[in-house]
Amino acid sequence: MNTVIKAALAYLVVLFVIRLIGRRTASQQAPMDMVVLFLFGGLSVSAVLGEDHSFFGAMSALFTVGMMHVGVSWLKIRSQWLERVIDGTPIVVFRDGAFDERHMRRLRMQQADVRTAARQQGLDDMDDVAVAIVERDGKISIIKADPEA
Amino acid sequence: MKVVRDDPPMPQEIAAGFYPAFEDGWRLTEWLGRAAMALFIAACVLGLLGPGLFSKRHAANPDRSITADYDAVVRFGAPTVIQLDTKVPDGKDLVAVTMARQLVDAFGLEAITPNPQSWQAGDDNVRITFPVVPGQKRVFIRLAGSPSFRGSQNLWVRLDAGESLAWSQFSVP
Repeated sequence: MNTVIKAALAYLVVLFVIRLIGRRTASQQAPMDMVVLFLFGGLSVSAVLGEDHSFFGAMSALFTVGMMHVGVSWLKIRSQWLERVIDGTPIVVFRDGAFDERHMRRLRMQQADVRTAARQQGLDDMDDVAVAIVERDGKISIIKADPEA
Repeated sequence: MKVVRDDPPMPQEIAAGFYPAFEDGWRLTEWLGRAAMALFIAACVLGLLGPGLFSKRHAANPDRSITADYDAVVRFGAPTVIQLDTKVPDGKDLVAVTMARQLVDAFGLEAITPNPQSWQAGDDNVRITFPVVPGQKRVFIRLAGSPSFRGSQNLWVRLDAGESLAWSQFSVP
């Protein structure tokens, strides 16, 4: 019983802490972001299971986290507000040749992050980028400029 | 019930910068959440939510025959220590300390240093006897445990001559 409650609480706490610290970490872009995620995992396991090393204890926590995930997903598709709270919304960080400094600062992103995404799309000039969007999962989408325009 | 929502056309969303009003509101939530986390960390460091800078307390009975050093706030299941300092009865080479049942049970007593010479069980207490180096006036006893109570818990110890010391500790999850 105790393990189930702690696993459910840990799921919610980790979910919101990851959201609160920003989407850079969720995208696992750099080693420093991965350090946070690895430590979150380890600390959560010790907080949920403590000295309980039993198979059933671990399984009860595992199933609880799985069911919490299903439950939150179920709620998310029924509430747009909850969906935005949990996943966030895309954010435009580059448009018409200019970086949006305010959004970049909020997301703790550098121009290099956007340039990397552009290069991954085969572009070697930011003039070829119409819009760069930081998606809900933290990845950067590049929309190419229309050469005809 | 329809659960797949019709979002606006994508060019329209991109032109509008998606949902800036929501992101502005979320920004505020982020700051509040981060402030709450910072406050929580500060409370932990200061000792308001477990052992920390200012969580140590010192208790003594009026004639200082028993003193105790302990953490005012402990964490459920986390190791903690109580240090007792007791007077040795004149001309004796033994000290007997009677402890509240809660000190053994709720406090989760796991180890006593030095090793007791004998244990005697009472109805709501345990009497423990320690051999003393001849000539010593005071002895030091270390109780290590992992609290299994939540909230406040009153604890006490007593010497055979009747001097007793009571204190309370608060356990957080």
